[in-house]
This record gives sequence, structure tokens and C-alpha cells, in this order.
Amino acid sequence: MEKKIVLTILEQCDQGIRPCSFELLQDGLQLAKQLDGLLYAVLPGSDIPDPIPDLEFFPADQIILMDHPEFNNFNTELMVEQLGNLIQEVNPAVILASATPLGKDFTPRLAVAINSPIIADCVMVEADAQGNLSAIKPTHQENFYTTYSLEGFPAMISLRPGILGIEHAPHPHTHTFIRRQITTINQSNITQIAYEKGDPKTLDLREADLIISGGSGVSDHKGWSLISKTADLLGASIGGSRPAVDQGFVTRDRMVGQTGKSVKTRLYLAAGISGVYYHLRGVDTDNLVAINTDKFAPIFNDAKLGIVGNLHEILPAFNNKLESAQSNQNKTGGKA
Amino acid sequence: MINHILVCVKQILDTNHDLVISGNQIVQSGEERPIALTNPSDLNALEKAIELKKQFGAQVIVISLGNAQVSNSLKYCLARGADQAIHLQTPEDFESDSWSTAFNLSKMIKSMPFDLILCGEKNINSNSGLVGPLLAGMLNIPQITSVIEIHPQIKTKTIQARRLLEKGDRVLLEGKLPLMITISPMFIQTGYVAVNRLRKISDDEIIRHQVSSKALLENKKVSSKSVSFPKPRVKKGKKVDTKLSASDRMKMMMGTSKKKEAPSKIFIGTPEEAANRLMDFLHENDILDLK
Repeated sequence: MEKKIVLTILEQCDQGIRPCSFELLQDGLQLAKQLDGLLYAVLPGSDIPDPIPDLEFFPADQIILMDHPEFNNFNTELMVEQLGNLIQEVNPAVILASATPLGKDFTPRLAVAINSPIIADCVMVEADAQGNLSAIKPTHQENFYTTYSLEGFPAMISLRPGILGIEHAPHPHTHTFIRRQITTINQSNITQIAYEKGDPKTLDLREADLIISGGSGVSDHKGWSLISKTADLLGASIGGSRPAVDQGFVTRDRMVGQTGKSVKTRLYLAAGISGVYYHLRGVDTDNLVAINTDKFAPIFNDAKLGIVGNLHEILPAFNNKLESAQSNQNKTGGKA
Repeated sequence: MINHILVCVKQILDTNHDLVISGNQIVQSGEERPIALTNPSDLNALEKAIELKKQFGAQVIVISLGNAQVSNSLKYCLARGADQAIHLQTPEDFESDSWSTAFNLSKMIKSMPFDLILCGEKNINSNSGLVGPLLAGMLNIPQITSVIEIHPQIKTKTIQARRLLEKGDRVLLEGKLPLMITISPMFIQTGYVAVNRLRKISDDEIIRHQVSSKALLENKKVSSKSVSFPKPRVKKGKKVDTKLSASDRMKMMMGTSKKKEAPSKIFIGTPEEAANRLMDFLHENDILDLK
């Protein structure tokens, strides 16, 4: 009997493959093992680097590269057309994609094209001993987890980024790459007019990737200028606790906390913030860094890195180092 | 340019009322009759439709699939200015999934004229965001999802829509009609209808079609097995320093190399030392592309 194929759909970024795609390969590998099957991956992209950085630590039985400049655009119709053709040839049992903005847009259309059941935005997918699939997803405003079962193959599941985390396999793996010819491109009914990059200075904190936040410990304009400088150098957005808003240093829409904004970031640098419950309630991050002169401040219980010290002295030193790192990078033209 | 706008709305359980797990379902505790509300993004879609109606003289038709209680949502939509409301009425305790809902909606919509279909990107309970794109796929019309702004282009008879991407990025897309647009929870709402302007609506203003359990079940592709409280997965995260050579990385993973001193969680030192520690932290955690 032919082995079942788990096909993962990867996404490209400047550095090669997006972190969520590495997570997808891990989930795909686990599922392929449970189904006693094979793990395939397809990467639609443009100018795909050779080799793809870090990929050697994520095993897959076959990686298909679809290289065309049009994949640089947000083009769901192209994804559905090309992936649909591939799926007809490869005949996978399970198709996994990341629930990114692009993923959430094309996966349902692809599901209709191949007449496959689909469950979106899952945190976990698994197969039991009989090969039946079930998927778990958060529902009811993240208050519950609902487990769904899928009937039949093929089945399509999109997985929420940032849940699994990334862990390299111990040994490097040699992959089989297949470069697929992208010949026919049908004119899409949707065209991309402009890509608008978010500006950390102006975007809504709920969309921010990096935040530096100040509290009552910042206390004066000089302190807030330091924070502003750090934000510029990090490419971070500025937030504040309630005292910072009350003192007039940040506007209400930048208040983080239970009655303010709830944020989800890769970095939350809290300067001069004590860390009471109702502030931290609004912070969801894997990298909470705190700078505070009070070594008994509650924030040090939750911080991944706690620095006891004065931000008025530490931030200038930190800013200097960030500036040197930036100018070094500019000199060497980015990557070595 | 736009003569008919369809707005798909969904009625959902109000999560402001205590929800509990009962068997393998989520129900409201203590209430006799479930307290339901219209999905907020769907109402934003309706408001935009009414605004476009004023601009283009279009007919706005609201459509919803659900049990008898859905009448209340539809009456509210008519009161806010929709011209017609269609209720695809299901049995009281109906079970549908996104596919079945989209399929049964498409069966109805196929026979109707439309230039634009608007609906919320997702509903706050099941959180899938599937019905809009599935419906567009079944009707074979292009789609723009997760939209925050809609700008009709009269000269080219197309619609430009700004949609969300990650990290505050946006992309401006342009689509030909007929078109499906799903409305993001962050949609920038401009129109507003004063509550005291709402007119009284009677039940017979709603056009009803019955949808049988059979029609729902035979198109269902996924079933809800069980419900639980969130149990986060154990997150992986052994970081490998990619500056090391392949053999050094292997050694580190296998644990035979000299163990690096684990940095202490609380750091006390000079400002210079603290700044260095911060830079190391950013590098260790892949926060900045510092080489």
C-alpha cells in the first residue's frame, strides 16, 4: 500500500523560510510518523536561496521549490492554481499550512478546489492508531479548546504560528529538492496595488512585534527621550503603564494593561515598571525584560531577564551599543 | 456599478454570559433561552453596505442561516436600513460546520443577482474565518479578506480594499466585480445610524426558506468531538547558535561540549555590563538580526 503523504506549505521571508514554517515542518514530521507516512514540503517563493538557511536541521522526504517573481505579491489565485496542480500529482493525505494572513486567505479556496475538509487556526493536529485525524483549536475568545475530527482524506489543516516553538533536530539532514517549473500563470482577478510596511511609531500596539514600555520609574522627559531613542534603534513601538499615562507621557491608546491594550510581542522591554497584575495581564510575550531600581519589584518574578539598575544610566549605554551594532551592519552590507 | 449587495450575518452565543462545558458542547449557564447576538464584524459589514447603498443606490439584502432566533438579528438589520432579509431557517438544535453553512448559503445565493458580498472575517466564537472564503470559492468569485478599508473605483468599476498583514503591515488590493470582501474586526467604521431612527419591523417582512437537517448533515465535513479548557502545548525552544560550525552544533545538542554558564535571571552590574547583557539577550533570543 502506498505511504500517506503529509504535505506542508512553507512561506518565504527575507532570510529564507519563516519561523512558522519551521514549526509546521515539526508538526508535519510528527503527523507523518503517526501515519507511518512521508513528509513533503512545498515552498512557493521568489529567488529562493540555495542552500536555504537552517533547513538542514528539519527533516523532510522531499522539498518542492516553486520559484517565480509573482509569489512576491499577495496572490491567492496563483497559490490555489499552482498548489492545486501539485496536489493533483502528489496526492497527499494531509495538507498543512500556517494560519498566517496569506495562509488563511488561500487555504479555504484550495480546499474547495480539491474538495477537502478544512479546519483553520489549530494549535495541534494528530492521528490515532487507526489513522483518524483530530485537530484542536481555540474557540469562544480563547476561553476554550474544541477538538474536531475530520472525515476522510485528503484533509487540510492550518496551524496557528508561535504555538509549538522551534527545536532543531540533532543531526543535519540531506534533502531532495525538486525545482518545479512554473509555466502557466493565469491573470488573477485580484491585483496588488501597494505593499505598505507598518511603522512602529504609529501602528496600533496590538499589532506591534516589539514594544518598549515605560512606567512611573521613568519620571521625566529626559527618561522618555531615552526610551524614544531605544525604540527607534530597536524598531520598537512605545507603550506605557497607567502612571505613565496619568503623568501625560504617553497617550491613552498606548496604555498596556487590563483596562488598556492587550499586546502580543516577541519582546516587551519594561523600563521603570513595577509589574503589578493589571499591567502584566495585558502582556503576552516570550521575552519579558525588566529594568528597575527596586529589586523587590513584582515584575522580576515574571521577567525572563531582570536588570536591577537605573534606566537613566543603562539606556544610554544600551543605545550606544545598538548604534554601533547598526553601523557595523551597514559597513559590512548586512549579512556576512 | 454596484446594484446588489449581499450581507451574510451570523448569530452567535453571547460570550459575555457565563459559558460552561456541557457534555461536548459549550452552553450558557443558567439561562432558559440562550442569549445571542449578531456577530459584531457582520454588523460592520452591514454598516458599510448601507453606506455603499447611499453612494450607488444599491439594494442591500441580508442573509443568515440559523434557527428561529435568527429572526431577531434579521429584524435588526432591516431596521438599520437593509432592503430585504432572507432567513435560511434550520431546525432548532441544528449542527452545521463552516463547509455546510457555506454550501447551503451558496445554493441560495447562486440564484440571486449580486455585485458584492460582505461579511465579517470570522465570528468571535468559532474563530475560523472559513465561511466567507469557502462561499466565495463555491460561487467562484474573487475575494479580499481581513479588510479594514473599502474604496470603490468608479472609473475602472473595480474595488480597492486595504487588508491586514502581520506586524502592522498592510497591502492594498484591487478586485473586479462580483467580489467577496470579509471585514476585519479592526475595520475602520465611518458610518453610523442613530438608534432612534430604527423603524419597527414585523416578522413577515423576512423571507423564509427552510433548510433541513439532511441538507446540513450531508454537506458537513468536520464534527466537534469534545471541548475542554485551554491546555497550552509545551513549547519547544532549544536554541542552536548558528554561528557555530555544523560539528560544534552537533556537539552542543549532544551535550558533550563544555557547558556554557547559564546566565542568572536577575542581573546586577554597571550600566555598561547591563547594556552588554541586554545585547546578548537580544542575540540569544533572535530578536535582532545582529551579526
